[in-house]
Amino acid sequence: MTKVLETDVLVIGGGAAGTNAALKAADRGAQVAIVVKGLLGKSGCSIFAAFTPYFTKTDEQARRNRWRFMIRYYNHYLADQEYCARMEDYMCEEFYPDLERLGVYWRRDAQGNLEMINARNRSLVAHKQGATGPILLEKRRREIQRRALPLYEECAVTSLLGDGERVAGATVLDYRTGEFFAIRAKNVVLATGHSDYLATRATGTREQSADGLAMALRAGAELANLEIQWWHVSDVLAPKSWMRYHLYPNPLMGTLETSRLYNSAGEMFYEQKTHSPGASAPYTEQLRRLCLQVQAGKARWDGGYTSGYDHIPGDIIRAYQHQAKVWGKLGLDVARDRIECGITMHMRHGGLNVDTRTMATTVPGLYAAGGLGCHYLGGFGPASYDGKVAGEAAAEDALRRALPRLPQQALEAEAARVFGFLQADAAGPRPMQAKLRVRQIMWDLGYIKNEKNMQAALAALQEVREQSVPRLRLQSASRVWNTGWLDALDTCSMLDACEATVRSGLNRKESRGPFYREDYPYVDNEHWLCRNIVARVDGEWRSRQQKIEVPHLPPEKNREPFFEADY
Amino acid sequence: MKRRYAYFPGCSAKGTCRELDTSTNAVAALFDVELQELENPGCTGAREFRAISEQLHLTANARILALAERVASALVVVCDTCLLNLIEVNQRLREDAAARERVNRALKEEGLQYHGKVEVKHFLWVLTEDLGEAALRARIVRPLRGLRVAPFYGCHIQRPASVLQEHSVRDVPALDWLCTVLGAEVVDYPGATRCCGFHVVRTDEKIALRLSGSHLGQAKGNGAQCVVTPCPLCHTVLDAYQPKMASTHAASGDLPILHVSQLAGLAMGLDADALGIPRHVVACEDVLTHVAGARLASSDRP
Amino acid sequence: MHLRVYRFDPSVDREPRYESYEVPYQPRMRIMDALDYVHEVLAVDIGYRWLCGSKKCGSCAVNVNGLPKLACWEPVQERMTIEPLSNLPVIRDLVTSRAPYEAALAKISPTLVRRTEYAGFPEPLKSTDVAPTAHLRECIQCLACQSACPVLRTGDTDFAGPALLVALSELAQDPRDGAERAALASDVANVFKCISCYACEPVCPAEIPIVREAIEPLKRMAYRVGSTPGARRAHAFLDTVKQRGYANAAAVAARSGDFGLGALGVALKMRRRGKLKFSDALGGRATPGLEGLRRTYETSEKEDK
Ligand SMILES: Cc1cc2nc3c(=O)[nH]c(=O)nc-3n(C[C@H](O)[C@H](O)[C@H](O)COP(=O)(O)OP(=O)(O)OC[C@H]3O[C@@H](n4cnc5c(N)ncnc54)[C@H](O)[C@@H]3O)c2cc1C
Repeated sequence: MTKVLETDVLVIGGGAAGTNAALKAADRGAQVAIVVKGLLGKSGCSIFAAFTPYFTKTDEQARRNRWRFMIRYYNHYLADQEYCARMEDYMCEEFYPDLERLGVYWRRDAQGNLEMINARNRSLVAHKQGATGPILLEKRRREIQRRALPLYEECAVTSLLGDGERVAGATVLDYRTGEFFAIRAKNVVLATGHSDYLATRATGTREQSADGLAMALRAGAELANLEIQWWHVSDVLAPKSWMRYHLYPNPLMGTLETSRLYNSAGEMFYEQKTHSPGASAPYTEQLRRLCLQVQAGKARWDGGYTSGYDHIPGDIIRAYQHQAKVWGKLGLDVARDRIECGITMHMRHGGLNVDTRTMATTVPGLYAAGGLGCHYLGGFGPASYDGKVAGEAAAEDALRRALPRLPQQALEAEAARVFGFLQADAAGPRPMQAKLRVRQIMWDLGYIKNEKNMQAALAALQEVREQSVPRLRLQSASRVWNTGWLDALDTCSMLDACEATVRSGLNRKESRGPFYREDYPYVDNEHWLCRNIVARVDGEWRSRQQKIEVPHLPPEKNREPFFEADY
Repeated sequence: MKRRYAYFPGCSAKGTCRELDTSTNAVAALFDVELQELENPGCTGAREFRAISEQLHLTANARILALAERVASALVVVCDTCLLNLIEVNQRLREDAAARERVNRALKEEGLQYHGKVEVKHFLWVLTEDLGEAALRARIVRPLRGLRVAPFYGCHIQRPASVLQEHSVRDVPALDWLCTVLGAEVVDYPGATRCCGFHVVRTDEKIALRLSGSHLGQAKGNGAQCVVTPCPLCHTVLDAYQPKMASTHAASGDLPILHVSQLAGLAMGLDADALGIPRHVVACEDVLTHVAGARLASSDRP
Repeated sequence: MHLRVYRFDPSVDREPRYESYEVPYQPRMRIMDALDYVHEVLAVDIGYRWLCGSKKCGSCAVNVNGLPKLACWEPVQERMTIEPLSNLPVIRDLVTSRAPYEAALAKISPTLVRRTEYAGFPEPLKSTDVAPTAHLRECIQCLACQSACPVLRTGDTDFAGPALLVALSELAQDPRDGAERAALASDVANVFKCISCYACEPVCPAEIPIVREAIEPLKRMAYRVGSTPGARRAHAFLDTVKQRGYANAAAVAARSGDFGLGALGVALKMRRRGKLKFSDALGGRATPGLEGLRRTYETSEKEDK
């Protein structure tokens, strides 16, 4: 018999969204349990957040800039604009006080004024190792521990359990011990993030295998806009482990200077301040420009171009001690040298189709918060807001309802699936090899898409699913920290998520933001300003569109060539 | 050439390890090195002042540095812990004008002032860096040939690196280098750069016994006939507490522990009594017998 | 490159063993890249932990040739023996349990306990107010320092270790914090059991001056509470220096009241060699000619309030 724990609200994920969901649900008086595949506050993409945008409402000009940035450049009009307005209130009123109360120190000068990145959109920093995310999460982690909220770390949720009507809990594999158990819950908040390690190069942390998407898909939830997949352009190429080190293309604190990109001939081809002054996070623009370089044979997706700060006066750039240290560790001088870069698969815009007033998904009892949702690209602040909304809604609802029945059959079936992989055999194939293959397929599909290469990717994924997965064998059948066992489970999630993503891409017949289809090289706001939804019902793929309202800031043109649109 | 240094022996060399003071002076005399001892210098505070008050830590050390400034351009110490305190404070006060001012305000009443003019060095570095190989070799009359010596550096002559730059001689750590020049064989063992535990020996003795016991056990296991250390605090734990380690920990209880000046003095023909060797708790007879057998070969002359 | 990796699965193996792997060198390679190669290309399921690969999560520290290193940050070496961190229980292969650290952390109440009610964002704070903790805030809890700490390595101690002291010190030096940090430092973390060996500092990937900026400020607080032998000894030491102009082992010991029987054997041996005079322990009068020194010391102590 599988052990079953009980709680009002089960939170899955320990990033910005999950931590806040847990705290806010507990504030509302609900019993909360948190399960984190990595370590809470040390996993997921929240730890990479370099700075947090500083929203104030008093300055009307700043607000207009921000809206234009949020809606146009950051979300390519795919954001839920009413959500944006509510999230803006949260950022103005709650986000900073909540974290500062816990002891976070946002940088100030000697007079006590907040120090800001004073670009068109202002941001604050509270640094730990050059990033703000880790320190914010450290404080939340300790608060969660202080309140003694039950926390299961290095435990992977493997499936959502439903009673036919609503989600009733989840199954968990504690991979440190190999113990498999279930948590029965009145409501589940899924907050597994949107930076997954799904391509050969990706910003997602090691454990991020899109489990959340895959589990939700299997539970019947709708997924939207999965194809709107961001890529970083200026990430370190070598060593490979450093592919998540990002040379920010946007201004650093204390200067409006930005890094530059150079092609293999040494020609500068991108600088934010020159090429996209309106876009504080100009990743999609960087991508398009790199694409032209690649097509001209002057760069590759995996190298052959560089990024650097060598045009910035040495005394300014050397003040970025963390950057200087990172470069120094490679024997490079941040003020003189350039670093070869490659692209990395980054955050996904899309995700679970949610009602942003509660973050409820299309499956009763299941809420999605943070990057996992489809309503907004993400960010530490927005993910925190989502956590709050989902945590509070899930808690309030849970306090009014009884624990749902846990479906025994589904539970045992999941146990059988999980333990089915625990077979040792000296001859492979090893799960890691299947995992690498999936990453390679997505890497090969890459940025430039068309009907043909997406179909080919689908076929290749199908082959892994049918040919490799059933034959996967582990080196040892030990239950204790069995890397291969996890790799096998990850591979299954990755296959589901990647298939859904490619299908979603096939459905979208336009190009937008980071999504480029050669065969539809224009932005089409008339037909594609929508949530492009896929779901799997009884093994069948379904798709539909849900119109996106643009009450505050509509796009200026209905249709324009992709490479001419400035967003 | 006569060399003149200000000299701060520290409390151990004036108390429990008086032989360190004697032997240091004896070796210095061989080289026409004048060590002028400071008068009423007080204390660098060991690890205690810094655990009481930062200002006291700064002032007490600045006071010693200020006294030394009146005497010479370099201040010599024979204790690792004194060395770190003085170097660290010297560095800090040279960089931090406000701290310098505070310190000088306190020193003023005694008519003292800190300017940051002296360099602080360990007597070991006087031998390895200021005098150097040729001068040392010229004085060796009883090379320690065949003597297997385990160097024990002590923490505060190596760490923290931000304060103590490398004092190696041609890439070889100073103490290893000196042993080799004196003709001895250096015994390699992991404990050489580790901690003896002195600073808790009076408050949590078992930690010091465990640590030092294991270092000595390793040294002995790797064939050491004796240990040499530049720090009297390490010496105290390794020597005086060694019998206690023998009963409970890895050490055998019979490994002689020598000061740097004693090892050098022996090679340079000084008398064991003059070097204060009989003052050690662990008997050093075997080392003395070994050394007495040594004769100078022509190859030992530069 | 040659890797020797510690392999141990407590659920099936009777004892640890080492496995060797040949790994081709890639430019700028980190230790983590070498381990990834073993896992990905050689398809060996070594148990090793990492999450971010960019010095943020602090989860990948391992011992390499005997020294703790953050695997994602430090370059590879030609020959590497890779083992789990010391002073923590092994879960499997290179993965250690962080549970003992978390348990110890809970004991020092690692959250801000506000002195006064929170004033709203941005609360009044200047960069100078928090300057003393600037380096401490860089800690990513990789536990390399805990692994390097020789006191913890003795196995039998109630000393909290450097990582815990960094966490505690950050709060203790936070001007907003009003908790009894001195008592925690003194009696729970046992800060005076730090032997000041600095072994923690060179292994810290965040380059925190742990002893000077984390531990010593705590010692000074614990000194004021004064309840531990370490604090008593510091007090006795200073008194002796003030009285005699130098520290005398017997006098300091007598004043700290720690002339326990355990130490007597050692003291007797030292006395036999003329290293110790018991009469020194008897206090007696202050050495004349030291008035200036005493005044200077006392002025400074006072300045530190
Ligand atoms: C490189 C990079 C730089 C960024 N820079 C910034 C920035 O400067 N400013 C900013 O505001 N935002 C930035 N972002 C975006 C921001 O970090 C994210 O949008 C946000 O933090 C997402 O938070 P999250 O909680 O939704 O997801 P994550 O932080 O990704 O958290 C996901 C959590 O789910 C857990 N999990 C996954 N699978 C399972 C499972 N099966 N069972 C249990 N738990 C599971 C993971 O272990 C992890 O704890 C950046 C993102 C990246 C990748």
